[in-house]
Amino acid sequence: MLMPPIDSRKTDMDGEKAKIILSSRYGGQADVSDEELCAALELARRNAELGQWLAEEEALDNLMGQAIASIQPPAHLKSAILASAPAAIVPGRTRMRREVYGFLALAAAVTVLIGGVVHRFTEPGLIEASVLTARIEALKKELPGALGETNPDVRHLREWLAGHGGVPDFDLPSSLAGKDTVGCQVFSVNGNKVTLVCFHLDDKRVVHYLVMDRKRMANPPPLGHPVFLQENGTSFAMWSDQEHSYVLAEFGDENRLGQLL
Amino acid sequence: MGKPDFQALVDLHYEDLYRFAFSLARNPSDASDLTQHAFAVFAQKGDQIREAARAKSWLFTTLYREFLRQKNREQRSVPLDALPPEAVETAVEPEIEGESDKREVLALLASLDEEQRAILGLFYLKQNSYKEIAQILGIPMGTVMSRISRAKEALRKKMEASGVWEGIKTGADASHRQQKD
Repeated sequence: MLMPPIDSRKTDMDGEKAKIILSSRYGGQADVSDEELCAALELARRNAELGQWLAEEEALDNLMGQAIASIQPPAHLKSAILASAPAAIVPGRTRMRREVYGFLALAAAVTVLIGGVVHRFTEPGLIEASVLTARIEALKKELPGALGETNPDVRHLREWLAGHGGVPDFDLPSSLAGKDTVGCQVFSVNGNKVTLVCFHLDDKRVVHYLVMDRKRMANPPPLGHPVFLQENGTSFAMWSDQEHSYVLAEFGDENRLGQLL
Repeated sequence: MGKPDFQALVDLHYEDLYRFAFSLARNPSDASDLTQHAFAVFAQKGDQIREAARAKSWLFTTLYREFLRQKNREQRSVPLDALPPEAVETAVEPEIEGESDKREVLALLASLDEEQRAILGLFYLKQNSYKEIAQILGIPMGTVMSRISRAKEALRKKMEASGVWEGIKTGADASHRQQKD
């Protein structure tokens, strides 16, 4: 390693000071403009004990660097991050501005339908129904790549969800019980986890089922009975029980969705 | 440098953000959630950031603040720190490539206190400058240096107590002899 000719004997560098400097600043790369670091390295070169200590420190740094780098994010994480982002900021999922306005209109409609209150102060960090519907819209282009796990057995997906922060013990409409699943995902909306499970119906239809904590909804859907919406060719049914809120969505006719509930 | 592109930022930083989050939270589920949260906030507010170069520090800072916020809210009914050691060991199960010694040293890292995990998590990612670490943790540069030194000393002691240090020392001895020769 090339270093400038700094003589540690002419500085106030001692073993303890050198250890602190080398420990916090070295990291395997010497900054030749850092005179203190160069003096500490020079002292380590002349002092056998300090040199041994530095060799151990480098070995520690190498092992820890490799250990941290070996931590692998879950396979589904990247797709979940992209799935959580508004469609407008992810390339390939750009929406026309009029569609953004469409979602704003939908949000207003949801507020009227669900809460009956148009102007309501919304606590930051809660889930807006409009964000959910926008996310389902974006799924049109992302499936099946956006799914964290794919399996036809809902019991397998429940296990996967339990290990990935999702809602594993969700209730199902009787029409979906026993149906094959396509897969599932857990994504974050405003910091809140939302569980997505996609079902394959007998006639090759696919429906998307979202489950989330009812308390984290800005305007929770009504308890016990669904409200229906249709936007840009996608149908939505939303309802709640005491613990969770649910959204069932299908890219298509609202009437068909209603038959499932 | 231009405004940051969301997908490019995810490609570049989501792995290291997850690694930092895992160093803090010590379990894959919370680490995933923290990482997603940082990007979700960026998706909402990222247009305030004019340069892609600043986005990385911003994401790390946001993740760290969310970790502190969650910790302060004490949402967990049983804090991880209060669990018996065997339960913590079970909780620390990230997906790790390679040998068991990495798993072992990560478990030792997880046993340090939160301040030490945070500084070493950032230090060993190697892509963060001291200035960036100072910004992310909201502390002066001088404090970054001293915290790194203290945290490494604490880690070294844990390694000595667990027997891991012997292996590191043996390898370092050989390397040091080679350099002297």
